[in-house]
Amino acid sequence: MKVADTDYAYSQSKIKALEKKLFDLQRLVLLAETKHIDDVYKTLADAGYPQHNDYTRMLNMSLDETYKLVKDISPDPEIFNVFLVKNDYHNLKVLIKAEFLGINPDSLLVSGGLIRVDELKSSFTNRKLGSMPQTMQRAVKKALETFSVSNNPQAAEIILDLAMYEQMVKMANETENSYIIGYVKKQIDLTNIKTLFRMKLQNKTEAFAKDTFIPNGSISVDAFVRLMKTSPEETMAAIGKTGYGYIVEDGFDMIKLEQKCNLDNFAYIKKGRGMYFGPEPLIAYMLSKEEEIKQLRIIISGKLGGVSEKIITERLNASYV
Amino acid sequence: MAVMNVNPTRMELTSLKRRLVTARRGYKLLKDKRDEMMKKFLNIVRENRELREKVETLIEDANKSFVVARAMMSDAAMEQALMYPSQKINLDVDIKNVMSVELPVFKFSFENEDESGMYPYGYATTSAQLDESIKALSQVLPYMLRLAETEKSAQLLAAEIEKTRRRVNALEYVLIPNLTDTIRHITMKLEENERGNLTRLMKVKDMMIQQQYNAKAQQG
Repeated sequence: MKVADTDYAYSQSKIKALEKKLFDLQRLVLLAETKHIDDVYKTLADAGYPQHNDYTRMLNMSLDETYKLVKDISPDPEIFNVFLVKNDYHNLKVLIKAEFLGINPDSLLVSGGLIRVDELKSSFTNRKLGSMPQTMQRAVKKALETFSVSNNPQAAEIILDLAMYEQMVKMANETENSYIIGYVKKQIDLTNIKTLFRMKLQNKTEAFAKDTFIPNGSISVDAFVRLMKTSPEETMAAIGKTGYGYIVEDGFDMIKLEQKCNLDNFAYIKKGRGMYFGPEPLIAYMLSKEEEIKQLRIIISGKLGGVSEKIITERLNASYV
Repeated sequence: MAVMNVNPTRMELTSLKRRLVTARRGYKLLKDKRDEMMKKFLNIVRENRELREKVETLIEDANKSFVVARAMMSDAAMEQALMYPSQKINLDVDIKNVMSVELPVFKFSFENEDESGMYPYGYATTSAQLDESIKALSQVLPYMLRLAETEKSAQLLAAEIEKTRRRVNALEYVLIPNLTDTIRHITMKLEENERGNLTRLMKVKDMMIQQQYNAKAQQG
């Protein structure tokens, strides 16, 4: 049953109130400039973050709370599935690798996916894949087969990544929501652009690239494969024609490229906040929270790792708006 | 002056003189060995210092890269990406004999010759910063192995140098002086005996002359 855009009125008003609590760039910079890490934790506690000694756990708990909140207040919780399926694929990668290593995967499994962690673990361990979506089933079988033949974790992971995006595209199309469809398309484009530059730096072959680029983006896989052999200038010029020119203007500086991808992505997410009807503001809030947590991770891990405030601030300025 | 507890006889003197010759030859040989080992040790230490500085710089760069990669990805995603290594290394340990010290020699080769095959994760959910970190770490590995080799060699050589130094010192400051002193002591003792004998003989001779003189005087 399709939910009318006007049915989101209640959830929208709640989200609008919560949106104000999101950290903007200025507050994040202030946080980065805080001298003591304890003061950062204090500010986060004031902003409603759960308290925990381990910052990773704290950020994960906050993320889980956000997923739960948007699902609870949304008239159509299913609409968020497209954003959560990545957690299932993460868990599948962990389960496959752990099986080949002969170790216990529990500490690396994450909650927040569409399939409960224990359910996913038991269906994988007992090879009862029937409860999984068709795309996922096929991918798991293929990844297991590839891994056992080649002993190559990268090949297995690429199979699962492709399946994840295939499933995301399918789910996005089912929502018939142009914001969600556009978001998934943007993710595919940005991932493909980053992958192109990374593979060129690693001297990967065209055949390898063909099986690695994700289809269904606004730029075709064939176009990306053709760029595998071109010079850096030609590659930048070709990407420039697609509307992603400013992302690649710094060439093979991967830090800047990733930051610009992040900016582009975040700018798209923020568009959803301004909408007055439909699920977009809820989705934008959830994705903004994910971005905020990503930036908080940069600040906290940077501070703990001894990275200077200047570098952290530069990084924030370059990838958050 | 330290004199050994031996009988001051000619036989003992000969045996001590033989021991002194052997001790002096041993001392010279050990001193040469120590000097040569010191030369080799200093070369290794010099190389070790350069390697350590290089390894520390490279590791610092790799760690910085990891801090950034860690910030870009969640802990779970990072652990997942790196949990199954795709590159394996074969390490053969050989032994090289330097001045009778057995030093290790590491020979290694990557199982996967293709450098681009060392990344054990896909591209969609990982950061390019992680590639940088992996590359930086893979570049530091050969230097780390060479560093381990030189550090162990320096350690083994230092122990052997210390042992040799003790031996050289023992020969130089204990055994050789003791032998020399004892030899001098026995020589003096033997000479003293000789002089005693001579005096006794001269005294006997004087006594005998006196007796003859007295006998002649009585007859006359």
